Amino acid sequence: MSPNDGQATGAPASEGRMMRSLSDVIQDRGSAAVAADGSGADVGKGIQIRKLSAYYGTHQALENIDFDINPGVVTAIIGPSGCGKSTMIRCLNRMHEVIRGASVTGSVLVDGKDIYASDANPTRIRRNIGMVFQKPNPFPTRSIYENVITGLKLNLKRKSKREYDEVVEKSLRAVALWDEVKDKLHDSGTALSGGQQQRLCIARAIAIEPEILLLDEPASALDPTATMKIEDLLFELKTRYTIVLVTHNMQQAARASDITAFFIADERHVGHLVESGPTRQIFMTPSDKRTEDYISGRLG
Amino acid sequence: MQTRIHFVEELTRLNHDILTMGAKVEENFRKAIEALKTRDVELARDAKASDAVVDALQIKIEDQAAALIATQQPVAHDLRELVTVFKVTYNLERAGDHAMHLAKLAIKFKEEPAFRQVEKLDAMVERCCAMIRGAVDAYLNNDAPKAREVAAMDEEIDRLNKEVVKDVIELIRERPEQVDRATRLLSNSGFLERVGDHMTNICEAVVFMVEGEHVELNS
Amino acid sequence: MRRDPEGGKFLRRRAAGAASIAVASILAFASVAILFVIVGHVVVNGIGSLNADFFTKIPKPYGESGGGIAQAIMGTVMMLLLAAVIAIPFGVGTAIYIVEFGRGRFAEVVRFAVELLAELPSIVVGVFVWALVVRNLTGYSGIAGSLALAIIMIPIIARGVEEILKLVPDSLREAALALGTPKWKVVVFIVIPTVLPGILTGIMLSVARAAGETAPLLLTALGNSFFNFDLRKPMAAMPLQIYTYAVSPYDDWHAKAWASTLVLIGLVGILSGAVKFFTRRWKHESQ
Repeated sequence: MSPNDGQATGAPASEGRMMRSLSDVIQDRGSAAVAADGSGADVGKGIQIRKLSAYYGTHQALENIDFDINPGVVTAIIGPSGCGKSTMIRCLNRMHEVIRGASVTGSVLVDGKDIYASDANPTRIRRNIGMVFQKPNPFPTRSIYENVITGLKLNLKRKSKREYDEVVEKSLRAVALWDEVKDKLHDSGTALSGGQQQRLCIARAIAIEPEILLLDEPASALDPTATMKIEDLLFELKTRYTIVLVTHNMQQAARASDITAFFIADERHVGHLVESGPTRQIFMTPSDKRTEDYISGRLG
Repeated sequence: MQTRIHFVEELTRLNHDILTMGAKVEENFRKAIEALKTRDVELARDAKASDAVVDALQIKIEDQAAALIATQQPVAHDLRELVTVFKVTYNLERAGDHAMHLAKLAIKFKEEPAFRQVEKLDAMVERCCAMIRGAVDAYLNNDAPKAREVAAMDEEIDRLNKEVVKDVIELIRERPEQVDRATRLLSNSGFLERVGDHMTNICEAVVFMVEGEHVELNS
Repeated sequence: MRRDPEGGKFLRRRAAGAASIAVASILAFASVAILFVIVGHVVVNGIGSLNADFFTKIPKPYGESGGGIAQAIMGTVMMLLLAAVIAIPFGVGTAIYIVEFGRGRFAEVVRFAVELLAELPSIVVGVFVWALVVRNLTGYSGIAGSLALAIIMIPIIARGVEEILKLVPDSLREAALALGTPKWKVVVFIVIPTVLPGILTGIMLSVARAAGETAPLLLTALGNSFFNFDLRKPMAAMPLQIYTYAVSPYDDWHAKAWASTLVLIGLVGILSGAVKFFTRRWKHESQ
């Protein structure tokens, strides 16, 4: 699982490929390309957003959002400040209502069920959806080990020490942090670097085995190298989780996502969806003038 | 720890397609010259039709490269590599067109008797294929010395072309009624000479990609 | 900094600035000086009467030399302990309610009530406990004294802990909530452990404050010249002992009042020192 033992890391052009067997290569290509698309992999479930509006008190932040999020890909939500992108992602695990006075209308279907149904339990819903925040926020009084299993210990059935050990190793390996911290699992999580802390937070989020992973500007407080590691990680994780990434860094959306949704708030409308589609299409041939202006740096 | 695994993977896939494109152009040349030698019209038609595959690969590769530039913000070597991709595909596509011309020649000459100039053309095609293979290899392996070596092969093609021209002039003198065949031979020899120039262009681009310096090879 | 084109105005402004700094410095120095004068005066007058007996013996009748305030120290400690046991759950609970759960009008009312309670003169608290508890239930007793001290401590703890809880970044609460943690578990297992040293600091501050209260104890614990371990009976306390000694006509008792004051200041000083120590260590650790 660790990215550094994947064979893809070797420099591609230095493998000394010779052209003598060119015709053979042509035959191989077709089958290789199909596998690389990742179609048919076992993935989490999608999200359907229907007529969603979000409010802070009487102030409306999002208006009438209709949007589908597919499993197995990274969906990025981009847009200028104040476009409601963070509000959008917080509506997906009912974290929006945690803020005093905040409310939502409309529905969000996860696995076919409306998480805003009257009998839905927000606490249970959140156990199925991992969330990572803008600033790395490991629990300061807890060790690296305890941070990873916090969700399990507080909210799920008690497990044996050995089972916890397994979860910790598996989760930390999944975020490529295991090798860096395996000798200091009982040190405080806050002693790690910012990038490591953020990967610890991702490990903590996936330790409860959610189907969906929400990331709210996860790299905005990190340096470029740590950012790249997080982006690589998303690429690894997307086969197992439905990933939604909010970012104000459109280059990051371009690099790390498969689907991009562009949100905007203007004089006439509060935050709303302008367009969404495959990331390459959005960044090469956007259909809306505002999208083009934003991604080419001419807006906001 | 290596980062940007995804980008590296995409580049690898892109280069794989370039390898395929080079192979296809080379294959078309080989089929075309074989058809010309053996009067095999079927093979010639096959080579002619295969040019569409080359053109399709060019579009696919260039779209992919543009998408990588748009989404991955390549800089330094990565950027030079992606810019080089466009030069590689452009010149390969032109070479592919000349393979098609050769295939058309084979179709045109299907009823003609054997002629001695075909051996010189064969020798030129052999060297063109070596240059195509070498140029793509130099690109894939980031090999500037190899690129310079490959560019040097162009001289031999130029020399062969001059011989063909001399030959054909002689032919016209001897048998003026064959002027139609002669001009066709002449232009195809010229096309093959151009293939050498296109491959030299690729080699120059490879040197730029590796060393960051613009060079003029065999001027 | 742009310079005023008119030099005179510039100079005048600079002079005004210098003068205000001078006035502020003098006033600050005066405040510190007052503290030093008080402490110095207490030390000079009280140190002479301090000896081992002072901490271990009970007061002797006038005319006999020696004796101490052991029963008052003990009474203060016992009543403070009981008061703390009563006040901590109420104070901490109120703070948790205000910061973590309270929404809307009722939370505002609670917050306002705590502020009012904090500003209540301590004699009013004494009268209240005297009227409701001493007269109807217990008579003058240690329990009544503890109750009065607890009422004084509750708003101090509540406000101190409220401030401390507000220091916990919301990002930490959100991290726990996003894991599907119920709100009460977030408070108990995440928020409180994070600021536990701060909460202890708030509690100790309230204890230090209550240790010096005299007026409410006069009306509730009454005072006692003998050892008494029974909280149901009148109990001695240091501020009361100081009061008794100080209002007497005897010079020897006046000296003992100074010595008792010195011990009380020492006790409060130790508590504040401990608070400072813990807060600093906590701040250091949480960085």
